[in-house]
Amino acid sequence: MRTLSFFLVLAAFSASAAANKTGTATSLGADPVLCADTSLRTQARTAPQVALRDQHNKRAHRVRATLAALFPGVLIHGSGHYAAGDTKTGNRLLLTSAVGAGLAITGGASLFWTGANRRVSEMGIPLLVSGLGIFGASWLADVYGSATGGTKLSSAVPPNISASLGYAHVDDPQFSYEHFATAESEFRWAQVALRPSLWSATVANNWRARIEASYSLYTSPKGTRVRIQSAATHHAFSDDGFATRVYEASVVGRWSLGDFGPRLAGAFADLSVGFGHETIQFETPGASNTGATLLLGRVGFGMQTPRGGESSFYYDHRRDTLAGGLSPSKRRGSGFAGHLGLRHRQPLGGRFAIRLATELGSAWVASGALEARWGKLR
Amino acid sequence: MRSIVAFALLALTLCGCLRPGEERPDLDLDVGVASIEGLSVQVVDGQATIRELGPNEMILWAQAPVLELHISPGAPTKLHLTVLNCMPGAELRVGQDWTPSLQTDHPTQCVFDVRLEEAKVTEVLIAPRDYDTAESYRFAVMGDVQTALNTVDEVFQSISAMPDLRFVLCTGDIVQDGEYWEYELYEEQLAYLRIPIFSTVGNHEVRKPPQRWHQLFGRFSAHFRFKDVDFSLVDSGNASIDPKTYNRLKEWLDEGRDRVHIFGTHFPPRDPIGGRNASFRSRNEGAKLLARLAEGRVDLTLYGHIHSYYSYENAGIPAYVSGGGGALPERYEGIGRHFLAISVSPAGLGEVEFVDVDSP
Repeated sequence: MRTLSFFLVLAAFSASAAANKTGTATSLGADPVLCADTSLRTQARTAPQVALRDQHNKRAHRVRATLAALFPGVLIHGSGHYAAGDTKTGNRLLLTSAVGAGLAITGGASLFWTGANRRVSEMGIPLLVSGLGIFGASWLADVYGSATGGTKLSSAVPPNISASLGYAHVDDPQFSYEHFATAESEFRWAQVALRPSLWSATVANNWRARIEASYSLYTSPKGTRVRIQSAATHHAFSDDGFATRVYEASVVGRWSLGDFGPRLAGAFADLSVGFGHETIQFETPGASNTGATLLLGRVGFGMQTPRGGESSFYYDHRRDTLAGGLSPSKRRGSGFAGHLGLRHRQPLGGRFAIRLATELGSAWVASGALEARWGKLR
Repeated sequence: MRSIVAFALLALTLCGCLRPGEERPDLDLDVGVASIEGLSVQVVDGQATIRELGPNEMILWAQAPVLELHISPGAPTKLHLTVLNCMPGAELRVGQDWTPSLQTDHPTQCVFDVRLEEAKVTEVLIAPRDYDTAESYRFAVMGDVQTALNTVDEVFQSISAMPDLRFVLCTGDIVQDGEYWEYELYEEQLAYLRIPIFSTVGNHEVRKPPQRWHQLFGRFSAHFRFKDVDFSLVDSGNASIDPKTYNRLKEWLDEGRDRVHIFGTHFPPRDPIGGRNASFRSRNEGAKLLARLAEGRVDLTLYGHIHSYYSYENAGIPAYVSGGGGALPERYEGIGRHFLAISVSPAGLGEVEFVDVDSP
């Protein structure tokens, strides 16, 4: 029920984004049904009547396509686009979902048949996670394209320098920190970006410092980009007698889905994979440091929103963050999954933007920040 | 503004279980307490669950080698007391008088007739006479039977073939789905085990309402002392330990701080193969648990969940994963059904022996 409500709201959100776009009609792929319908009968009607009826037909058509994307689209990805007459994009989404399912089945089967063997699982799990992510993203893309018909909204060019201050609320039954003051910044120079951040609890002795460095390998005009990223994180849990230190490296990609078809313009999919190593340092004398590898994997789906905004929904397989890992229910599923997240960034005009985020795992994290930007803006 | 409202609506749909196991610590508090008209019973620290209580009869399922009972009758009566999952050779002590068990069909079934006087709380102890003698002994550790319940008798027979083992610690996942028929089959298979088994729950027991385990076996988390060595079995059935259980664990760690203390739970706080993540749902919580165990000077940590065998250290404490009860194994490592036989004394840990069930 929760999942269904999420996707209903997502569809409404997509439609909301579409309603706000500029030049909606011209941005759409041609709709053969509507074109045929309008070509024969317009002579007998006045122009405003035709426009009104076209708008009504388009809306009804879009609702049918969206319903098809929800079902049977949840099983046969691309159904919404088939219903909208966009067979080419429908085929691409179906193929993408098949690739995702194939990866997931390969990864899942390798884990099942080897009993999650120690030498196989660190390859099988990335396949499983990325496969499920691609499978899920192809469905979300179908829902998005069916509901919006695509938008002309494009991704904003990141500023050269940005800095933000904010607040985060963390509801974690295991830790009492609860309130964090956050400071984050970003510096870009050509292909290189540096992102230092600091989160410090306001009523507990707990803080986390992180620095990310990335190098852009590829950027397309439509917004598709691939970068390599490394990061170091130190998280002090002084009230609990330990600290963690993580070093990691990953490949981070974003695909602008407008490349898939015009109805998907304005949407994107994120995929990143990587490895890290975490060390726990204990304050108790005699308790030696404990280390372990860390598998990084994130899959997401997002869309551009009006006035340069951007929203994304993602699954992150890591469980070393404040959000930890998800318990889908009281009965099943605890102990394997990472966390879910939702992010939105909205320029306020001028050089300011607001950033909102929420993550759900073993803890619930909600944060908001005011961002100031310098350098080239669009 | 509209997009921010939509974001908020989407965020509200992301709500899940932050404390999926929160019922269980509360249920633990009810274990071992029962009364009927004219008779009330309390098993100290919930060390046994009361399966049946009648005016002249009581049946207990023990979750510890040593049981202390406070029995308050309304009138003089004779109580026929049956203890299942009992230590072989256990006797009943009232005051300074020890009474041996009546003859039974199985070594882990003890039966006593207890005379109760009116309006007086009778304090009863049920234990082997050497329960507080500080000396070395061995116990077994196993976990993760799941779909192999119908063949677990072979594991039990292997354990029973080692006469110096005093009891079995089980780290959970005895059953696959928590169905009643599985628990019935488990109790039938226990006929092949000649020593008691004390277990916490794994993620498979919690697939069904916790009342099932609670009614049949009692506590999800238990602490006991035997021969001056402390044991804490803690419920991590949801890949996490509930904050209320952490509070109890703190008391147990404080009590056992100056003694040898052995800790067991189902999920390893940290998978020795980190990227596999067969561990706590939050790595930070896993680290918190290890920090507490190190601070509490725990001497040994025992885990299950991973259907294999691993020996390593966490926070400087020796750690063993033993999930060889028969569930789908981690393949191609040459590790099959097994259990551990661990030697311990008040002076410290002894040898940890890996016993292969299928290659004697």
